[in-house]
Amino acid sequence: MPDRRPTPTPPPPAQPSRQASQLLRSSNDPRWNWTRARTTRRLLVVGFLASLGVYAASLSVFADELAATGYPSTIGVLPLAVVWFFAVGLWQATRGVLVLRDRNLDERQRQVRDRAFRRAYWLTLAIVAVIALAVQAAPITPHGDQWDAITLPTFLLVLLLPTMTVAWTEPDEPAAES
Amino acid sequence: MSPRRHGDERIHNRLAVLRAERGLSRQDIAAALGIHYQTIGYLERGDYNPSLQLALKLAAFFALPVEAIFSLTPFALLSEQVYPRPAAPPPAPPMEVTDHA
Repeated sequence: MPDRRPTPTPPPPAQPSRQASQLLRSSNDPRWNWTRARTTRRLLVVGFLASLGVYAASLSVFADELAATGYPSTIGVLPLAVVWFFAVGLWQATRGVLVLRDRNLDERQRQVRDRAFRRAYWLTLAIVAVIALAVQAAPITPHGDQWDAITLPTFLLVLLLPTMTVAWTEPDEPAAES
Repeated sequence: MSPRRHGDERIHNRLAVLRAERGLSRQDIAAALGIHYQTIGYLERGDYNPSLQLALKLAAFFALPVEAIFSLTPFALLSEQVYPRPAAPPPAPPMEVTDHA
């Protein structure tokens, strides 16, 4: 008996939905493609951590100046600008997967984000424990503006920790078309 | 977690073949399904296993049963399915040696 089922024909590609349009607009900016290779992402992570260290040191060095004038000098602000450069690079390198809303992410991106938050939670616990132990063990008790050298870089570190986790662990993106 | 690290968890798929066969780009499929175009790339590369919802959406998009696109075991090569290898001929019987002496 002949098969009378109609031969399925593929539907034509549909117009992008509103959600798809948002996705394409927000996370496909080609100007940042240079940041998206895995090696570059890892270099950005290393750069961010190094600049954060310099920022913490500068806060410590300029603590007296901050206390006297109430605002940092140009040289004092420079390390923060470098930190900001690496932070923006990391956000773009990870296609904003940690900052976009749920509706702008597809299921794989949401999975990547959730995994990053899970890993970052344990890393945060470890970092806070290490800092607490270091402060307890330090021969000098921090006071006044010296706390800024601890709390501000720690805040920035924890803020960027999920993004750094994604940047460090995700494999290279598939080629544009193959 | 990347399926590549856990070979037994990998879901095999024919997305790359189907996409090439129908002349579609990743962007075409991604736009139709409302997902990121690189997710199609990750699926093709075997770095991501789709949810049931996405698998069914892809099956509907290609108008194929889901098991024609996704499988727990590797798919046979399409060329071997279209042009199956001929069965090997049976071994020739041993030649009889007659002693005329």
